[in-house]
Amino acid sequence: MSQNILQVKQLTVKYNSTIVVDSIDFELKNETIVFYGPSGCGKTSILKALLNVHEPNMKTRGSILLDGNDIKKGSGEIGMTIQGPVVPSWLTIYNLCKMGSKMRRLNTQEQHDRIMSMLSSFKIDHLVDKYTHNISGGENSEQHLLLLYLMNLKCYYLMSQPPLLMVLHECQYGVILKVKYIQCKYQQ
Amino acid sequence: MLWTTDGLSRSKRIRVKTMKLKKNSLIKISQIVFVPIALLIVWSIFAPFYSLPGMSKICGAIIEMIENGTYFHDIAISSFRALSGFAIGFSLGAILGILTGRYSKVFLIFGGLLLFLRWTPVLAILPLTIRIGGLGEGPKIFIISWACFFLCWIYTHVAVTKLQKQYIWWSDSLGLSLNQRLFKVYLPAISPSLIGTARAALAISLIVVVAAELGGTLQSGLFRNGLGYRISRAIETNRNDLNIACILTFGLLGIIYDCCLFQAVKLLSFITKIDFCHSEG
Repeated sequence: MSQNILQVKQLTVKYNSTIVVDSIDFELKNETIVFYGPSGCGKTSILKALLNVHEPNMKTRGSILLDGNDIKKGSGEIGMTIQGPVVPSWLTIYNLCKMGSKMRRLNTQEQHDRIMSMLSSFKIDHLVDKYTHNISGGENSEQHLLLLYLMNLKCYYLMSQPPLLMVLHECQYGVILKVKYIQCKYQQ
Repeated sequence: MLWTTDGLSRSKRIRVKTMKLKKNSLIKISQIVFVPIALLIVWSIFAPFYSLPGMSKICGAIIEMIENGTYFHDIAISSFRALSGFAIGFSLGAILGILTGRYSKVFLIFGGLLLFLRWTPVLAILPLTIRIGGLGEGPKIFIISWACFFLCWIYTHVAVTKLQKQYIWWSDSLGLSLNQRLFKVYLPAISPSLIGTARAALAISLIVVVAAELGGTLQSGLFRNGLGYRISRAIETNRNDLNIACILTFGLLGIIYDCCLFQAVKLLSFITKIDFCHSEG
């Protein structure tokens, strides 16, 4: 089984000629780290580089290795929850779950069973055929976050933009617990 | 005064709901019945002052066309021209719009030419099209698809360039295939704009079909059909009733196209379980 070691060496991110991230090194192994700092200091740029997202004027240098190998673009190995619109509002919860990177490897019946068991374990199976924009505000954002974690089961590391920003203050602790539960139950 | 149903008993709440429903249905009925009746009355009062036919004469003209077998034939011919032109223009425009919006290199190659051609008035190139292509169906459909193409291209291009980057990152983070990205994320994301564009393009196709039928039939004995041709004949023979009947038929056709488009989108949403009419995008 893979060790899931994420190594970042000499990572530099430039926008045109402006250096936003300058030669940073870190290594992660089954742990949680937090990047924090003022706006524009390069937090999102690091995540974009890890996710292999490239914007037209963005240049990256350095190496990002997962278990000693380069991360393939669009492989779904590293996931990210995103600032702004969290998930597409035109998909049903069921279809959203089906798009998870690990989920796509299963056959239809296995997918169905897996999705239903995951949703019922979080007591949100009644929302299965609803579009994300049809569910209520607080419930909506909390479920979004949870679903993103559920969907990214193949991911070794999850990169979160302000992860609890959209969740009601009273619900935040509950969401953290649920995310921890998913990490323990499904991610290994 | 603020109306709420809080604090009311169940029966009262049901009564309030029923009243709201009745109010809504009354508004709908008034849209369908009262407004057209009011317009008919206004028309009947003012039409004689401008030597225009009354509604009875217009209905008579429609019956006359039905009896001599031209009415439905003309509708079919004009619809065929408008819809085939629309289908070609919309598909090509949408595909190119996605390509130019998504890939800046494609826009660099084609953008300048397309932006220039977009401003050439479609009615100005109609005579040239007839001169080159003749009076057959080809040039008529070409000119309609030309008009629809540029409208669809520019709106799709703008919609794709304004596509939220978060959705692209989201697709990246899930490792979606190109197929999934295109049909489950990118296309549904811009679908509200695409539907709006399709509606506008359908309206354009009806405008241009009239121009194409007027221009493509007056000079020859061939291809004397279509609602546009009927309008030109009505003007030549000073038959205002026929003219207005054809104009009203175009309006009716537009509404039918619009309804069909919405039903098609609804059906597609039902089959694919993707909400194409969402408010985002």
